[in-house]
Amino acid sequence: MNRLEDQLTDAAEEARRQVTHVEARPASSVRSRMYRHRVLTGAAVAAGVFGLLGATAIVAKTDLTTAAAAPDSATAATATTVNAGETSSPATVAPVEESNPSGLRFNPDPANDDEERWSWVYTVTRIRDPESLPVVEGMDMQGHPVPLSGIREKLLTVQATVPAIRDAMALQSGLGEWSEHAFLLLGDGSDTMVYIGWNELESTDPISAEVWKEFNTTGVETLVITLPDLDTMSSVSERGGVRFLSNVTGHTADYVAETPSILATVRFFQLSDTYGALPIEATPEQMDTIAAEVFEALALERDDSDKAPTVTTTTVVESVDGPVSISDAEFEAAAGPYQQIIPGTAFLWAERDVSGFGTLSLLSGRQQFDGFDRAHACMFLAHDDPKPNASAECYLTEGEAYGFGLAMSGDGCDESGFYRMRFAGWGLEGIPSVHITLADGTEIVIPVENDVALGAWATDQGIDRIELVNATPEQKAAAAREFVLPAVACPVGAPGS
Amino acid sequence: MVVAQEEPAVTAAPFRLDFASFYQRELKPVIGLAFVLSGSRSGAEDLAQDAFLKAYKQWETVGAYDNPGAWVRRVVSNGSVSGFRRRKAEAKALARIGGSGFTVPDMSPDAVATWAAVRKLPKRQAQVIALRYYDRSSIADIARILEMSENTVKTHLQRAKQTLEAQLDEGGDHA
Repeated sequence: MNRLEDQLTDAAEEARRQVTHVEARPASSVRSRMYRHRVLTGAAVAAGVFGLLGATAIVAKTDLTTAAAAPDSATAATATTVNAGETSSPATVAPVEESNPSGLRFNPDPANDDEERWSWVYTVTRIRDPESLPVVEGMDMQGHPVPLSGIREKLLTVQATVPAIRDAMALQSGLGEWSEHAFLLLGDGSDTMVYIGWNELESTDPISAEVWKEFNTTGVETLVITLPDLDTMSSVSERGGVRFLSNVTGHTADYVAETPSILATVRFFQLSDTYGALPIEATPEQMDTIAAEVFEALALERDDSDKAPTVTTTTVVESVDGPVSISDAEFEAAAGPYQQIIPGTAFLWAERDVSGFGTLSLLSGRQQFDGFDRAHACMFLAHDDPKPNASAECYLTEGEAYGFGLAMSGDGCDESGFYRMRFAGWGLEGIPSVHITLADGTEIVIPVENDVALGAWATDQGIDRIELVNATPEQKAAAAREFVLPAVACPVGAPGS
Repeated sequence: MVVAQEEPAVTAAPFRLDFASFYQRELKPVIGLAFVLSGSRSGAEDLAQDAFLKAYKQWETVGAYDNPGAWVRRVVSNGSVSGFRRRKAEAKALARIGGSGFTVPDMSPDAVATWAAVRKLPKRQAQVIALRYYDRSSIADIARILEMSENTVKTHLQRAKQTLEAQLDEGGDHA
């Protein structure tokens, strides 16, 4: 054991030297990154399914007004996410056992009762009608509501076209960073559970796709419910570029439809305290039929474009009153200030606002990222924007401590005929304001404070130019070189056009 | 043409010197902790930044803890052992910078093998080893960080060492 002690001590010392090296690197470089604020619902299953991927514990709340209208409202309950207390303060993490006396529990390996494998426990929200699924709102760390409604669209579609699902009870649904899922209990009295999972493979990012596939076959250790192992599945058919596979055993049955960008899963198992412990009551023929109908309802299509498939996005900005129509006043109200800055350190983010837009998040640091040779990743995650085909661009000047970002929501005008645009610029030292001139000559002035400019507006006009007032020649050159101005215009006849 | 009223300009939060100090003090060890647990330099940076961002966002709560460092270590420990998440973040980052990574001095093969073996341990065991040896945390501190009893920490530590000894011996034999 002494040898091991020495080995660990030496390895730790070497690791510490690695970190020391970071500080010794030149201070002239910068690394910035932009993140979409990670959103996980209270439906802990998604995170469990994908290996604690989000690792962000968000206590979800159920819209009790909506839930109360549901047939089974008496049992509607608040979904609670518990992830080993990672990001929740002790006050927000409910004791697992006490909070969930009757919730589903999944353990892939009953012989291994390691506490980690029991971390994902959730209270079942019993809503019979997917349409009355509550508007489950995640809450970000500041307590702002985060609407999450993507799976609802799919459930409605599936429910409308798949007879077996029509009578099923949706027990849980949710949205993860790269996934959506729903758990349903078939309404035939068989206690057969159906899990519908929807996972983005990110066709625009082959590395990620490979990661996904690798993960599907090897990333089992931390999973509560694992994704199907594609290598062990039988290829059933291929239609229109969509590969269908299945693996049916007595206790679990997986059906997968794989496109270059989507992995859709329909999994059957028997309702039980332990996942996979009981034989499935549904017959293979029933399951074959249901899976095929679900895939058909989801209208999977091969997608070779570099756009995120619209089916993967949360396409509707939901509120209790239905889709949000953005007017001047509403937009102003929705897009309240929610940025925070530490001067010099420059943590900065823009939360998603109540209308569902505002996914820009920016974490820019000059001090903390000193030590990198070049400007690093800059992440406007356009494909994660709740609007389909959202575009967002981020520009970062190499080796310089400033950059610009521009995001445009959706694939066109919303119902009010507006595009919603956001601008973020940072490192704008010495620049009092940023002037954005729209196609019709309208000028939007965004003041710069603490070297940062953030602005949002709704318009039906494209951007003609962006001007940095009093910019240095280098800054001007960077802006001119790096901005690709989107040509946007609302279609003729669209409201507001 | 309609232009909605402009969003109010940036509203600066009260400058929290205490957070800045905390950040400066804890950044390096936290990155290191993420590094040994994730095995990825850029992934470790991401994980550490995530953890600090989360801490900052709820600094009123976290900052009031007796030991905010324990909180941020718990966040980064939990995040680091999720191999998928790290790889995903790293893949995204690399894809956007053209695949170039960072040039850092390599650790010795023994150190690399040791940490690789640690990362293969069950999550809690790996965390306990990293906190104990890399972070030099006491048993009591580890218990606070991971929110478990000291006896549980000792159990994880003991099991981890047994496994590591067998693995590393096996590796040495093969070598």
